[in-house]
Amino acid sequence: MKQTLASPVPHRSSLVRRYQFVALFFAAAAVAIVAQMIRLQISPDAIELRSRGQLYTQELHTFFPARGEIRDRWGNVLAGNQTVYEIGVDLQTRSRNPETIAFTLSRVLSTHAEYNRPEYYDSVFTAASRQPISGTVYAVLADYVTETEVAEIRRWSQEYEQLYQDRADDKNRQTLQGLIIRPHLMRVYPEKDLASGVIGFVNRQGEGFFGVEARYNPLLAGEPQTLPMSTDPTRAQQLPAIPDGATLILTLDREIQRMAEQVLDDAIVANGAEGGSVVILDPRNGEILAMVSTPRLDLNQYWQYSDIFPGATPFNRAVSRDYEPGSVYKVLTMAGALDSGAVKPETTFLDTGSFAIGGYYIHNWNWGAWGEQNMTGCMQHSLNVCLAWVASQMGTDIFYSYMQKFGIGRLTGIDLDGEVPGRLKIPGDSDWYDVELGTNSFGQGVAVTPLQLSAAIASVANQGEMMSPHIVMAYVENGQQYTIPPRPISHPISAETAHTLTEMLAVSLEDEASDALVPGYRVAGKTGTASIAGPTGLYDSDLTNASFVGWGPVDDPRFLIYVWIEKPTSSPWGSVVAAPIFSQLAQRLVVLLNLPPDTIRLAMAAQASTTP
Amino acid sequence: MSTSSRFQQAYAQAPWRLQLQLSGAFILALIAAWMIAAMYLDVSTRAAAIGRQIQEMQVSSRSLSVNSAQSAGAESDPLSDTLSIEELRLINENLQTQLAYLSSDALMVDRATKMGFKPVAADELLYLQVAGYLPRQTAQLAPPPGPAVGEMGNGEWEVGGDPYRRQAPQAMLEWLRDEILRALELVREAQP
Repeated sequence: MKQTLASPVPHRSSLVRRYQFVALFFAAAAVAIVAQMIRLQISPDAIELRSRGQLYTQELHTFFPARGEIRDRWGNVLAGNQTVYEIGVDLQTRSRNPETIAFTLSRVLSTHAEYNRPEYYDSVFTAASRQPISGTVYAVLADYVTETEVAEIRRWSQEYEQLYQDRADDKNRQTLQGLIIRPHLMRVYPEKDLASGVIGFVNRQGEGFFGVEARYNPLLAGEPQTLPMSTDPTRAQQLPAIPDGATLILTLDREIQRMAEQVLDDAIVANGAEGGSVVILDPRNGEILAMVSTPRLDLNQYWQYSDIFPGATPFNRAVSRDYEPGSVYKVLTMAGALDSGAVKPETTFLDTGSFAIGGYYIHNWNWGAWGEQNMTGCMQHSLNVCLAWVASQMGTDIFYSYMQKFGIGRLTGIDLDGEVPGRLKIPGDSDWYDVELGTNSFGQGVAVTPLQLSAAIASVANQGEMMSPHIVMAYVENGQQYTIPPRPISHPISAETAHTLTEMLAVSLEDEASDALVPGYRVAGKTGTASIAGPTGLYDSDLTNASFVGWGPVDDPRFLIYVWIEKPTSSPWGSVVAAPIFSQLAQRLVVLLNLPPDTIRLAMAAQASTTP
Repeated sequence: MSTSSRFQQAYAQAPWRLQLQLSGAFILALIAAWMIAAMYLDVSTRAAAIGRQIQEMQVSSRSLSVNSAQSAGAESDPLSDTLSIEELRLINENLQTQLAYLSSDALMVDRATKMGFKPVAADELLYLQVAGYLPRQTAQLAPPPGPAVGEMGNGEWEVGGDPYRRQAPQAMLEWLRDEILRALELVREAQP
């Protein structure tokens, strides 16, 4: 028997089974993998896993639009933006040198008021020495750094690099590596304190305060957008085009505003007054050409606000401070009386020096009796007694009805922040007494803002139609300019009444040879001298509020000027203090408005009407 | 049966031939899959590299390293090609503000005074009537919103609506052709 040493060759079918077993094993493994993949996709945990994955594929970025500009009616920039820089340190940069960073920043920023302090070096050194723990990888070292300062830091950086270019491995080398510069925009005001009461300011958090900066903050600031940006390079997205904030075009005229500010500032100094306000508007459409208030703030240094406006000092007296206006208010009383038919211009009144109403006697400003006067004489001599009588002729209902039609005691709705409504007590109020009808007729016992009275009296200059005073003429948004049309508020008196009263007030100025007269231009106007109530409500102070309101040219009014001088010490009278200021303003205003003298203007109009 | 015929029959009936066919088909499919994968990988790599560049540029537009080459070069040449749109926008804002400062009322008055000008008084003015004179116009920084008028492509004119949202009519086949051409272009670019 032959014996073989080799192992027996497996049978062919056995081999096939082995191969089949291996194939089955791999097939089962493949099926298991596929099954697991399907299970992962459809399992209840799949949504959670997918959402977790999404966290790493996207980052939320907030994009801030540039704040819109503010311009005057001719396009001059009153508020714009400038690039400043935030300087920080990347804590993940191993080669950073906190000592060099602190030394450089404390030296370069020593001219920067905010960082010119001894402890700044230590604070930068501490911040730059921190380790990137707890997710903190970046520390801010300075902000609002100017372009010049950044250029200086870069120069230092280049010099450090050149100094150590052969010693790159030196662990103690001086370097500014890790320093990060981030540009961003800051609000700036090229005209500094010009029209500061109207414009307002923006703080570092981008919040608008006062004026149009506050009132139009959402429009100016635009809409920041927070968008998920893919971290996957294959899905790199285009940066979204965030539209900038809207640009506002104001009704203000920069040159008129500056002129009015200079005149008022000089007048306050000359008269030893506490403060003052001037409003210049176009009575035809309610556009504010200038609005001045004292004190004013350089808006680029808004942090001085509390020093310049201590206590309850209003940021803009023209809209935020109400006061008893005195005799300028008589314009409204006479307008209502003429319009209601209670009196006519030729109606006479025998002034005996006092008039009893509500159990009290009303007296004139000089405690004298002026004898028989017509209504023009009453306005010319500003007779309290006469106007109290006129109000009594109108009756309580009609008088207060007209005052409400003129918008007294209500907001004018001007598009500025911080407007106050003033106060008009009416019959039925707990603090209204019968004597109020008399005192209100000459502007005591009623509180108004300069703007409120300007807007009301502008209706007399605009054929009886009262226009909404406004400061924004147009705005530019998304490449289109939207003009805000003039808006009539009410028609408190007829055009005929307006013409009659304007003529009466023009004549009264001329007859009186008032200091308010403007050579070459016929103007109408009224003085105002108001006693100031003390804390007890008694008029026991010698100080007054001196005012003047005037408009012109009489035949076609193009401007109305309201002047308020608070507590002048040179003289208590509006005719002495405020009337010359009106004249001064008007004489310079007609030049800036390109308004020829009446004779030339009327001759040109006549020539134009006769030319075919 | 000739020798040749027998050889052909033997070749046709050879058991390894079927295996060869199967193997060939499998390898062919494998090569095709490999080529597609390679092409996909190449395109993906290029897209990722370009995407990464875009992301870096986006980051650099918001923050710059103090000693980066870009920041150093940007100072000397503000209109350098390396500046991003965001940086140009900031430069524009700065230039506008600089212009506003230079033309501010106080500086203009100061400049005029130094040149010998003085404010004119009302009685010093001489008014002339000029035919066709147009008074100074208030600021017009942008066109006013109005009815958009546009040609619709079919000879008709559309009034109203947003002209930027108006879409040109495009047939389905034209769209498909454009997409195919675009895909082919992408593949051509992906070739090494």
